[in-house]
Amino acid sequence: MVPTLSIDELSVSFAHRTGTLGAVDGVSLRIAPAECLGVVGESGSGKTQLFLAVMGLAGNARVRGSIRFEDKELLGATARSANRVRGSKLTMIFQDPMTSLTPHLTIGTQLAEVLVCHQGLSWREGRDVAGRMLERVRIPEPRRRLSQYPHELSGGMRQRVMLAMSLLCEPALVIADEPTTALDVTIQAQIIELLRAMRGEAGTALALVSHDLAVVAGLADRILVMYAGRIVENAAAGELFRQPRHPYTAELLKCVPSLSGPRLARLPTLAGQPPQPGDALQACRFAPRCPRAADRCRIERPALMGTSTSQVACHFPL
Amino acid sequence: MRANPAAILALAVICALVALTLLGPWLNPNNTQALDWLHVAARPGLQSAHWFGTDRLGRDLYARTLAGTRVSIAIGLVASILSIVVGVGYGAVSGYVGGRTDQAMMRVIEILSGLPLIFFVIFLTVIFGRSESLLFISIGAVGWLTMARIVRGQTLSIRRQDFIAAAVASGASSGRIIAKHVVPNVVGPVVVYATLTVPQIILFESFLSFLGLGIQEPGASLGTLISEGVGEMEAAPWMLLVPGGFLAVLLLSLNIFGDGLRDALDVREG
Amino acid sequence: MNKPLLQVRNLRVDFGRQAALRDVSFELFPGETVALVGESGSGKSTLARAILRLQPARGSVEFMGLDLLESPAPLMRAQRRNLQIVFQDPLASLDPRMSAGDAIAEPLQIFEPQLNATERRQRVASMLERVGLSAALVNRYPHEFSGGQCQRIGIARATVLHPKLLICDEAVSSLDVSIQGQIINLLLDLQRDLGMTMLFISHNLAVVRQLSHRVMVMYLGKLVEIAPSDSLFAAPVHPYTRALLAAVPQIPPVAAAAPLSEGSLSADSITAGCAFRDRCPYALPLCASSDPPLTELPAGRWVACHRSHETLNPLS
Repeated sequence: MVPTLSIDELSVSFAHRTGTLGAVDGVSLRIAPAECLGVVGESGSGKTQLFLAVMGLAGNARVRGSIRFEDKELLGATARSANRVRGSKLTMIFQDPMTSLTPHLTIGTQLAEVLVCHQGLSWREGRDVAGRMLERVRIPEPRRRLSQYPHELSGGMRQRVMLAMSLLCEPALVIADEPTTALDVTIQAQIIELLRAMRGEAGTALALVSHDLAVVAGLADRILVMYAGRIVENAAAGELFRQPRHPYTAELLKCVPSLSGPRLARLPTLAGQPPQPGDALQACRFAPRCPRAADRCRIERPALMGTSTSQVACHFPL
Repeated sequence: MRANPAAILALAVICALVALTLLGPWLNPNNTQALDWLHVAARPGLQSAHWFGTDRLGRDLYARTLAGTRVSIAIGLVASILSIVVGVGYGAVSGYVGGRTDQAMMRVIEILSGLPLIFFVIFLTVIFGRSESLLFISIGAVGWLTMARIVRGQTLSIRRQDFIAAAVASGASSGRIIAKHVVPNVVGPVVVYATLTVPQIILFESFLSFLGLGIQEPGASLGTLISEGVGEMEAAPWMLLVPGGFLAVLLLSLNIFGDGLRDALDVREG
Repeated sequence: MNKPLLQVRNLRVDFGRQAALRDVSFELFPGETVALVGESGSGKSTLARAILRLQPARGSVEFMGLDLLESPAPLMRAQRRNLQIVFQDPLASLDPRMSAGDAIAEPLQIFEPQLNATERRQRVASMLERVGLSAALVNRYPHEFSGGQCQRIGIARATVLHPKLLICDEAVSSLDVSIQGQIINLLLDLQRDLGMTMLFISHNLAVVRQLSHRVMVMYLGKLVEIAPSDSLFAAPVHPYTRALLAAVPQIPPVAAAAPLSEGSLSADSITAGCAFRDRCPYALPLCASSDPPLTELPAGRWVACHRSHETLNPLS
């Protein structure tokens, strides 16, 4: 079975005043059809840069490696062939619903535009399909929204519009980059529910990128944990939470405060901070903060190893 | 700054010009007024006594061009400093205090901006007669207006930021906040705007002199030199090309440097 | 009977037609940590700014016996040393042109001008160490620090004068999860050492649960529930509080109730009645005509709901 998305040894780096900055360092992953992959990491983990590179939005960065979508290579493909795929079969939703939509065009125009460009529909047909998609994403008063402008909608509604836009051409994969971070908790719950429903109905694969483990927990089949540009653990969702194998994952889980469980006098913490641009890096980038670090970790980079369902990049996994 | 060779070059050119205007007379001590009847409208040449040639009256073009450039640079400098000092103070206070005070202060600026500059200068010239200091005053008097507007705009956007709220919460008085928090943070756009208005001011002075309103005979200004040069364009093109060239190089360098400065000051966001 | 450190009565803030705060009243007692939770539009940040007079407001704010809103400006300024705030965006709350040392020194310059430069430098250095930063970083500028470090500098600046009340306005919301704990522990340590009272504003209920004695819940400019932390989380009364707690995603995931619908009321369209009625699963016709007042219940609880005396069945 051909994976929907197949990334091999992807590196994204930026030229910086102080040298090159490796935002993503040798990442490989697979997303199977209809699978939901959660990608979790904190600032500097590279999770956003990874998917921006997939969508061709990496800007000035140098991107090396291989990105195959449904077995067609995207890196190095002509802009034309890549653009046929991006925006129709491979789509992305961004974090800030306020800036993702063009302020001076109506919702209807922006949605119809996707269909006109990718599927050759007429504007009238496009608006029609758009209206039906807005119904599917359960936006209140869908037909009315078509003639409204983005600033007339709330954050939650804008995010629904973004989701509608990403689903218009029946994509094989939707990348959602922190889709609920800018939203209130109660609205976030609605959007998570919506994403769950969409997956069920359309069978679309979903790459859910977030710093919030709990959000990812509710949706993902499998979870990748990233730290300082590398994947450190790859496991089924339930497994990851029950039995994390990488020390970073374990510490991160301890740091997430919960609504149940005992109240603590002091919050658990992870000492130090993620590597900043310009910091000297050890072979295992987590070593400076790792309670289990040994000399080997400072000189030998741990490779991602394990079975097909569970992998970890650590010399001394839990 | 390392990344912008054009701006560095521009800065070097500006410095060279300044040095030349100050030290030039030492290199070729020809008087700006002396009439050399033997070499009227002479061509430029390094072998002759007049490196840049002479004009219709035999005056050395080298000395006169340098003198004119000196005037241009001086007026650019003085008018900029005046507009910075007055404009920043006025704009920062107006923007920070806000409310009715701000409205009133902006009305004043709007009224003054409404005066056509040329008429204002002519008006002053009629009353006080032509003089170099009048020129400096009239240009400086209007130059601060746009600076004040810019600083006010910057202040309005800075005022909303958390670090200003933090300063208020720390018990700082308005005066302290304006002096220590607002002004240092508008320095960037102010400096850039100043370097970009200097060429405008220089051009304006040249224009006034060209029209006969500014520096007049026998004084030398790039504007008057160009004006004379236009008349001699076919017969003695160097009379136009030399002062025109100096003016063009000066303005171009200032503009490039101003752009480079803005990019350099934004380097944090780069 | 403890005398309250801060007493807020009928605080009102309007932005044009929009009512950001509607008749907010509460008390803070010395030494406690009270959390203020709410979502966007709840008015919690506006409340913080109104108390600090960073925002014009009507009503009364009594702090250490002094009415802050009525005081003349110099008197208010003098009181500011006792009433400090840490902001949400660590980088934006620091003047980009001032070094870390200068930022922390400023309150000292204003309130303790008798200190000479050496004494001031020592106080700044010890404060930096106190918040977990090396004193060698004193001359660095904000953009050279990470978010967590900037927040430490902000905390150092806010606590250098040992204020009686520290307001934390979403102080950890923009930080990584692994750093949040560090900053919260720092705040707890400082509170204990300096004897501060803390008003902790956050939308993150799980974090709030860990560090507060009491919790106040706001919705569209109004306080809808106040309760001791344990009882609020164990048995929330107000329907909004319940919905809020139910909406928080958990690890491992819990079977979620049907999420709360999006409200159609906003701050400027509320005329009469309870602001939550269009989203409330328990709404009665009464709720549309009458805005329930914040009423005291047993065990230190306050709820603004017409049905607070009933035992409402959990939503299924």
